[in-house]
Amino acid sequence: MSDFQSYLDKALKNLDVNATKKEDDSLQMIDYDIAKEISELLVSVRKELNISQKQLSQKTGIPQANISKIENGKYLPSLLILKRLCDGLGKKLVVDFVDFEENLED
Amino acid sequence: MSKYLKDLFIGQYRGIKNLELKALNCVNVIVGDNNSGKSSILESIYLLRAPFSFDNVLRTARMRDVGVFTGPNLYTNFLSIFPKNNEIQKIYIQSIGDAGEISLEIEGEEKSVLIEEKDVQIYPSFVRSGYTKRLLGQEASAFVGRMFSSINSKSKETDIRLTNYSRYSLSRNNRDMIINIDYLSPISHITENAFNNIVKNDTYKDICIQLIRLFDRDIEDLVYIKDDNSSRAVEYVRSKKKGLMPLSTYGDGIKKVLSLANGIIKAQGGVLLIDEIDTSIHYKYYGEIFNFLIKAAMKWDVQIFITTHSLEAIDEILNTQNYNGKIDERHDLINVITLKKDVEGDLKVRSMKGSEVYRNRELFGFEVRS
Repeated sequence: MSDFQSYLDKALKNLDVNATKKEDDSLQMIDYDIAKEISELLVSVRKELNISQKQLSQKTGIPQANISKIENGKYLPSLLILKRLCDGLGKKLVVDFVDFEENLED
Repeated sequence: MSKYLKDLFIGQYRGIKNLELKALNCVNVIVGDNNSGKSSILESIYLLRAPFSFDNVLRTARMRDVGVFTGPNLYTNFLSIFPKNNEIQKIYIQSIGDAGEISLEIEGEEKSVLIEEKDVQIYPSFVRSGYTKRLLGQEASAFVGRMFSSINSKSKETDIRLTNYSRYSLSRNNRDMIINIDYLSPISHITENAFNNIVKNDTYKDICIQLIRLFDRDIEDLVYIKDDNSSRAVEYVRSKKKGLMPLSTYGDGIKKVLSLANGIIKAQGGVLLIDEIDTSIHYKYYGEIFNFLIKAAMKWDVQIFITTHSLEAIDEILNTQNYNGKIDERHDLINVITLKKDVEGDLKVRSMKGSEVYRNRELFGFEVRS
């Protein structure tokens, strides 16, 4: 058996067919990490306004530990939590569905 | 072990009449001379993918023509799926498999009709009102008939009317799909994406990279990169020496192998039809590639149908199995289906287990293609 075939047998054994991403054909190539985008947005706006995590926590009633998790991309907040964070920052939360192409242009 | 389709009966389709394939296997190799009907068998299977969809029939009728602007028109393509020299045009295909019993029948005749509103509305892939208005009331050739589709006890009858002015968009629509069946033409690796499905599974992608490294040791990765001008995602290969290069600059062999691997994952849980597997691949790679293909198909639960006229290809497909050792015929994964036209031009079919073909080849110098 060739090197490739013995590699293949081992690799196929480890292959999990259920670990396949199921995106629609048009979207699959340009995946993006929404948790990362939210964390970056939150950190940048909070720092811009010069508010600490602790202050934001006091304003919103959301535990500082959770804000920290969101900022580290370890926790994906619900829309309601996200709105409360926005309220605390004096911002309005806007949700929009945009085309991929459009989104890629900027 | 996947055997999505167990039996197939082609009552009539193109040049095929009353052809019966029983006990289909996981891997079905269809062998025959040019023009013996190999591709027609693949097409008739593809028709079962969406038996209630007339769109699927039209798509199948066009599969041999890639060039939208160079090939014959849709109407001509459609008429060519019927056997020649019959007043009443008819096709009939039936299968038994995991989805139960499926059948598709189209019957009708060619007539001269006057174009009505509905004729220009059914397939308006380009609706130019001036153009369509001018057509109204014009005389046209048309196929007028009916389509009978059934899955087990569920059946449906649809009226069909297609004129030589009918237009149709070629996009693949999965909406009406009953069985996941995908078709790789001898040139799919040039005209379609080669790894859009491969990249969906990280482990599988690694395997596929190792596979194409058989051709080029410097290949390191497969990536999609957005084209600056069109914002389309373009397929690139990362190479140790050459850096990022568009896949299109690589040889046909690599593209073909990726397209096979990509097809397997796309056909997961269903059927993959591979027309002329040997095109573009050098025979010295057959062993590695066919081994990969069959193992991957088993892993993704895909039944495959392969056509070829290459004896070397058949040999190497048989060599993937341990036919020298003890193999129980019930566990033989391969069927070899030979097509041959007799002196009257009628199609004769013979189906044998892979092990049987292998033994006979070894002992008697048995020629599969004869």
